[in-house]
Amino acid sequence: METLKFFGRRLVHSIFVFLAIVSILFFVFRLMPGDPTMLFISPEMSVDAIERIRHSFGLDKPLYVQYFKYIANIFLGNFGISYYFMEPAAPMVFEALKNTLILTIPAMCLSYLFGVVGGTLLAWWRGKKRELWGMAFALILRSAPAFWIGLIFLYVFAFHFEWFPGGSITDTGVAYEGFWEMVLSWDFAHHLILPVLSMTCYLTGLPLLLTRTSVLEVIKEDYVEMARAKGIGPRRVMFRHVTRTAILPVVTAFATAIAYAFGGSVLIEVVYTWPGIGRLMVDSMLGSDYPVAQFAFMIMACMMIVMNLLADFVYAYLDPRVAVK
Amino acid sequence: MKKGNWIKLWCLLIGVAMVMSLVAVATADAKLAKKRQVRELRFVAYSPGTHKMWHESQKYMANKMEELGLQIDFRPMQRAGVLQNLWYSRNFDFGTLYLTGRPTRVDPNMILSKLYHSRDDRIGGYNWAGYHNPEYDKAIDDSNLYASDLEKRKELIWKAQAIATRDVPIITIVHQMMLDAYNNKKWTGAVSMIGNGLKNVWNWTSMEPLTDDKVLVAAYRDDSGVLNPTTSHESNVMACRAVYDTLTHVGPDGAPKPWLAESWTWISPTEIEFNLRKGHKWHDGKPVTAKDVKFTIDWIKEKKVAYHLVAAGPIKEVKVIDDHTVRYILKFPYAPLLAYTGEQIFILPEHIWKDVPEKVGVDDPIMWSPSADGKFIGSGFLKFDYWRKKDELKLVANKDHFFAPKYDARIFKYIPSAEAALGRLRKGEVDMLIDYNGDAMALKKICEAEPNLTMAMEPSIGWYELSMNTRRPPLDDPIVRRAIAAAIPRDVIAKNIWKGFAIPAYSPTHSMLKPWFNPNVNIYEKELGLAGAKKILKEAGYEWDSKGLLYYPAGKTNEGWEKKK
Repeated sequence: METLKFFGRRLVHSIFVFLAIVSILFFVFRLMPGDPTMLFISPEMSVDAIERIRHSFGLDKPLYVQYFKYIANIFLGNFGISYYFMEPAAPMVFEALKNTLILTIPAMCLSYLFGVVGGTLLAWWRGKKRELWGMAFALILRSAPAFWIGLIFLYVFAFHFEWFPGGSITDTGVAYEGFWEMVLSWDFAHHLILPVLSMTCYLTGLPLLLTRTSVLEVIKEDYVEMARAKGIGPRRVMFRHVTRTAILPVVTAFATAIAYAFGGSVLIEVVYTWPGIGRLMVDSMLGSDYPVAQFAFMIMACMMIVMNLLADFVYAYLDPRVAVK
Repeated sequence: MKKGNWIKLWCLLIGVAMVMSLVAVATADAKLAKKRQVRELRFVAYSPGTHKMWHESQKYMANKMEELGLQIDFRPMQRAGVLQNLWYSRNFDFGTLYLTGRPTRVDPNMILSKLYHSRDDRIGGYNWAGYHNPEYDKAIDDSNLYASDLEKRKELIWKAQAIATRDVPIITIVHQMMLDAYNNKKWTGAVSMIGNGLKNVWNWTSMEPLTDDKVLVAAYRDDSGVLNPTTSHESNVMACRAVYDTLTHVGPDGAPKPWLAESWTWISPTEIEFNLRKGHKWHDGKPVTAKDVKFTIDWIKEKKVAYHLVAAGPIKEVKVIDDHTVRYILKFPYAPLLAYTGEQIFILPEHIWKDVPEKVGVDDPIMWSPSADGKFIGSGFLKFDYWRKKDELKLVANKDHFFAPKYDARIFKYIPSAEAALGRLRKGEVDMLIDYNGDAMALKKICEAEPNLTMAMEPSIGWYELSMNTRRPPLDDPIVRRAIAAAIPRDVIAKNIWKGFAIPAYSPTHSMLKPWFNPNVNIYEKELGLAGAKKILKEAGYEWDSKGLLYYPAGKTNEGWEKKK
């Protein structure tokens, strides 16, 4: 019963957060300099032609009218037509989202795997010489910018050694029946490796350092000392008793990170010419393509909210000490 | 006198000298009342991220203006912000934009009208300087009447350039180089066009494969956006030029050549008869006839298709004589007809576009995506195959076309990162780079180092310009504008900042466009230079204070400048 009430409250709260976010999205895009009609203006046009275009897009109506239409449309599931492509915004965003997820989810899972294992190891090596080398490596990884890693990998492995293609999602001119057919092809895998590698390197830094800090904290706890006193071997203590507690902050971080995975990494996508949602978001923002930009950000916001909710529940399950009041 | 007294005397003398010079300076500045000081001028510029070389050029120009005594409020921003200031809020003293090279801009009339004609002082027009000169307007308007008298037209076009560079509301700074590169071991037959480089239909219909790979892959930065012949973005227009035919196309040397119209005859100065190619078909098999041409013009006017309306403007009526003969009856003689109207308007299939926009579910033709409905059908040398958004667009050769390509298909590969595009060209994943906008020096070095890569450079018919808001003081005074023009050495900008990847644009008309280019235009930086600039300002009554800041002549102030929009 308690859990149900908690769940209900959090859900209602989330809906309000969602509404606030979509409202902010609406106003922020319209306050930015630039106007979607600029996409269509060419010096060859007359003033009333431009006015007609604004009217066709409904941009000549007062702002509050446009806003209410926008909110109403969201609840009706109508997410508008892209000003740049003149096709429905939602399918386009989902297409880009699929491309992004296929890149970011593997990268994230790998980076958290390496991060947790690496972080635990680093904590294990506390005080030894290996720790210094490990820490140096971890810090370099953490501070290197994503696009730099991407460019280095691209240059070395694609252009210098020519082991991998220089970008894009598949070879030029190759057509596939459907999304899954493409994803399961060797051609696609060949194109996927470098971007995933770059992204993994970029993302590993956080879980690695987080795990290490967390483990170092937990090691000091009384119950760990108790376990050692009972005669349990150091390796078993580390991987069964310590990690389970230490992993809690990392789980929360992972849940939030999944939400970021939906936003893609625009820098990796530009370097590798990956047709993902990160690039779509940035391009649509710069080109004042409001419907696409709004919907893309909306999806990300939704995911954030959902993931945060999930993180709360997973945390409560993993750590019974978190009482649900 | 005692030694102590000498010292006291010297101190007194030095003290007096100091006081006197201070008083002199103070009184000199007092004569120049503060309200006569020229206000701080707002320079709306491009941010380094938007365009590095242009940003540096603008900073350099601002520095030069400061040497004249002007105070510059330098505001770098994104392109959207620049357009906002120039078109909508009109909040600028110095503004700047650029025109890319397009075949429709090769006829001298287009550019000369856009910058300086008073009717282009409006939202969407390029005369944001607000230049209104009836003498200029008449020269340009009259020049259009002489379609057959080349000498008379040239005289008026030269006159227009002379007036424009004399009053200098806009300084055209440089013609940037259009940069392209291609793999010469796989492809040959490249044709460069004046002011456009390899980005032209003659190139696409003459390039030939040297190997078994008959698919030409060219890298572009921006996705085409909606594939629609009534929409004006540059990348979409490139695809439409291949999928649709026009009556004429401007040739590589700048003169209009037959395309869909095999030949034409001027029946009178306001009536022209076109003979269309026989046996030509739309991509869906239906025949292309004169009725389609008539429909296109009538439909453009009826639906007020903004992008083509100006080009169709001079046409009063279109008469169908027979299936392959059509006449344009003009409202007045119009010299740019073949090079502009003929080049600009895509001939549309009546059987598809008669339903647009009413029966395709949109309010306006520009809101339709023909490719989504399978209706991106023209009669051009390439046919639509597929479009993977933000990834690639594939067009296949139309082997029945009168200028059928010698390859099987052309792929537009969208690669936003210039570095990645360069690497992939070198690796062989793409065959060509078109309109490369990355580091020009890097491209040059790579093409020189690799024997299988050829780089093509061609000064654009467009240019980068500095506009001065002539509505506001002090820029309403032509002497001030001339002085500013004299202080900006364009050859230095082209050589040192653009590193030779641009040529100075002394006239708005391209220097290689014969016979239209007027070589006798005013080049103030050579005629006057900085010293001469200060001289003409002084003669007009302008003054400088001790800090070197500029002051208006007596009787003039900044008053009321905010109200001038």
